[in-house]
Amino acid sequence: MRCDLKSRTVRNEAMDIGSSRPSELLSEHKYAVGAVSRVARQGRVSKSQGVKAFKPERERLFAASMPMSTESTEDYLVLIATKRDRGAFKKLFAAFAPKIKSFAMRNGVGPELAEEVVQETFIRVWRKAEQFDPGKASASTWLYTIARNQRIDLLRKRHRPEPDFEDPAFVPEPEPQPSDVISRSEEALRLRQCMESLSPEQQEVLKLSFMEELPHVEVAERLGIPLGTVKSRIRLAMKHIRSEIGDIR
Amino acid sequence: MTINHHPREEMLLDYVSGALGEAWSIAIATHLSVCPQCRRVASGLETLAGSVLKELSDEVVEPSTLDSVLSRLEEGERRTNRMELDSLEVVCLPKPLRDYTGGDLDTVRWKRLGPVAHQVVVCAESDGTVARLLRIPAGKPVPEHSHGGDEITLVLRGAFEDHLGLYERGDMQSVDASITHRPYAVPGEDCICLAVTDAPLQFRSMTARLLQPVVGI
Repeated sequence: MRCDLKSRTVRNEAMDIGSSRPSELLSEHKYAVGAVSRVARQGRVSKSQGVKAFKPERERLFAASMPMSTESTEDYLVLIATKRDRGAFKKLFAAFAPKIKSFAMRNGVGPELAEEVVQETFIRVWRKAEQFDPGKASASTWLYTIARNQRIDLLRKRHRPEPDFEDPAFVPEPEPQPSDVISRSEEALRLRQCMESLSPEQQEVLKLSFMEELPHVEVAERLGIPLGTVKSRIRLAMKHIRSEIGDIR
Repeated sequence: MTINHHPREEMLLDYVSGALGEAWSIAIATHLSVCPQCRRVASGLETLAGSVLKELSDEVVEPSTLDSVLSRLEEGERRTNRMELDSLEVVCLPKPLRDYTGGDLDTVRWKRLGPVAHQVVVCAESDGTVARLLRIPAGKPVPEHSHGGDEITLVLRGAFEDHLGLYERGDMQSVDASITHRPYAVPGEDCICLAVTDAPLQFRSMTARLLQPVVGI
């Protein structure tokens, strides 16, 4: 009963970190349930028996896990930053390494190099975790920026110039007013949902751009549409983003 | 400081996605250092990218990859001393640019460009894209020219003006091959800017054209 053991370990780890929130238990449970269904499919356990035995548990967990699952990845990062928690690190790896490998392979590299991108990304996650600010970015956004930089570094072998907030020439944002602080967190939430509110055509352009690292000129070639059309789709999408962050230009 | 001229939307997107070439990226990262407004738009784009990443289908990761990562976690935990400048010092060149020049303006080794201007190449890519710092004396013009391709110019000190507008610190002008302009540095202070081009400039005057191979722009 490997999966039982696994769940127990997870539960213990969650206790160790002094949290009684169920969300930290869920992602591993999801895998445990998945493993049982796989065993059931392979016929080692009679299918009806296996599924039946787990069904109420699975339903309960799945129902609870849907809205909570994104929240827990931010918690993992905070635990890595504050407690150097390897358990949280492994859970974050389990949740995101397969996506980062997929991301790395999107611009045409083989699996070996993609594994290298995964490795270097997670080394940096460990080292830079204290720079993660859950009030500013979601875990997936922060991981995207690290994976993107590693992909540029390893595949294109070049430096990516980036602003540095410790730079004396850096101009910080004006001090937020108390009313702004609330709207900032709302803004982050709205931005996360912003993608779905774009038209399928606008989404397509942004996805090709982000995932395959295609310059907008090549996005036009790939889609076989005029460059002007791509530019106007980008401008419309950006207009949408600007309205979400209250930046009217 | 109010910035009135910002990078084009599609260039900001290409910067965020990582598709933008290095020389152009220096100019965008330098602009972002001084423009909180564009930084918010860029992080808005990153939020969208993060939500796309989260929806990607999974690729099976080799179990040995996690082992290698875990075995390497402690190895690089040395603290690097990042402060190369006193944080109270007033600097002109933001960090993304200093990374290429090796220091602030006082360390830049200017070379003559034509009769009045000076330049220093910051980054030259194999496809012909060049990022260079330009210094135009206060009140002096740059000879009237058009562009074989795209050009972006980011003002770092002083200001320049042409028929498109007035450009001050942090402002970025983007022009393409269709534009002919005759920018001049606003009197009072030398104008220092970062210019990125992907093709040589085309000067209208015969003298400037003849000088071009000699001065190298």
